[in-house]
Amino acid sequence: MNAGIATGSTVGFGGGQIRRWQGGVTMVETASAASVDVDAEDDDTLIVRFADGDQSAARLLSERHLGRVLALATRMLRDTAEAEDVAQEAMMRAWRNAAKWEPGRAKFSTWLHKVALNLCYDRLRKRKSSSLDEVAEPVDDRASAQDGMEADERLSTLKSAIAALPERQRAAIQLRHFEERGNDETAEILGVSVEAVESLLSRGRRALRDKLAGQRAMLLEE
Amino acid sequence: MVMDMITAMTIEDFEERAMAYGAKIDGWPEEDQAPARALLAGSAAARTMLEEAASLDAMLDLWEGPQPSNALLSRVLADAATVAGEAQVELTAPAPVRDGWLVRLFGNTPIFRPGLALAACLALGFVMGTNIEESVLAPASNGTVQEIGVIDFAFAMEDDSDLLLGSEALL
Repeated sequence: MNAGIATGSTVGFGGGQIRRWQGGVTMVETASAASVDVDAEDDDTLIVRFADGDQSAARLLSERHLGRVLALATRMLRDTAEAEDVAQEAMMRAWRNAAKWEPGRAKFSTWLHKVALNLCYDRLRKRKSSSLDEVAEPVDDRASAQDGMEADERLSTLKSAIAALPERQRAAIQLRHFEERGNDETAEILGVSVEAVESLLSRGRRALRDKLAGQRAMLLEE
Repeated sequence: MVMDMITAMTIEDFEERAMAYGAKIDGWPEEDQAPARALLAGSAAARTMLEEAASLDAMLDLWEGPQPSNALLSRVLADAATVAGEAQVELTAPAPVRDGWLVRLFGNTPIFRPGLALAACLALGFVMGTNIEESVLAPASNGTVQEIGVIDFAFAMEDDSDLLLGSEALL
């Protein structure tokens, strides 16, 4: 399971100091209020704070969500550089839309993942259209080259099997298995019904089971 | 009631759930969890299915998600600072000055400025010329009559020049 960036975000106000990020500069200022756990602030509060000009909220939101968004994009695109671009663009859209954010109307995390997933779909579509113009299949070539450099052959086998799944099955497995999101949220992010989520998961995992059946001993080092 | 729910889950349903949601029954839809556990307790086939699902879960877990690099985090926070800066500029920028009718009519590009200056000169010349002509020709005031009288006298002097020449001739 993936986690966000591990940083201590609990800050002490009681006679201590708070590290506040402003415009790329870390400033240290003294505060005298009671101790506050900034992790306790929900995403709605943070996005509103950012819209009001508090950039420390941007750091907290990034620490909370960037890792998951990056993991989603990496498993969808299987390309680190592209996945980073998608994660950055998704966060950028969050910043740009912060002023329009209506707390309570939607879950920020769901919205952000939906944006990231759509950006992944766009890139996958572009790959497909460009591969039609070329003789070779660029995605597979690049994936093979990348995998060739990976020391872990098991991981390469697994990645290839997941990459071969249809996009929505891949996304459903990412959201349900890796991120442990509920059916309702997964359905909302994918833009399908809850029943469709179950069907996507079932077909995707069944395909993976069949594809990896021969490598099971090698993968699990049995 | 509980027994009804337990018997409601068939081995096919169990397989379907295990395939979709994996081996952790806690992650299955809530209404399926109790019947699934009941079936699992008495069905070797269900246990085999669950072991198979657990194997697949374990294989999937080999692919750990990447941690965001500090460089990526810096880029994301720089974007946030840029957006916040733009928003600040929007908030503090003065309201645009409303253009005059000439600018609205002709635009504000430099190419129209010499044309406007020429048009203004022509208009001023026309107005001044019209006023001077009126002030010379209109017999509206005493001053104007006197001016006309002076001009008539001048012409009269020219007319008398013949007399002077005549008198010189007499001399």
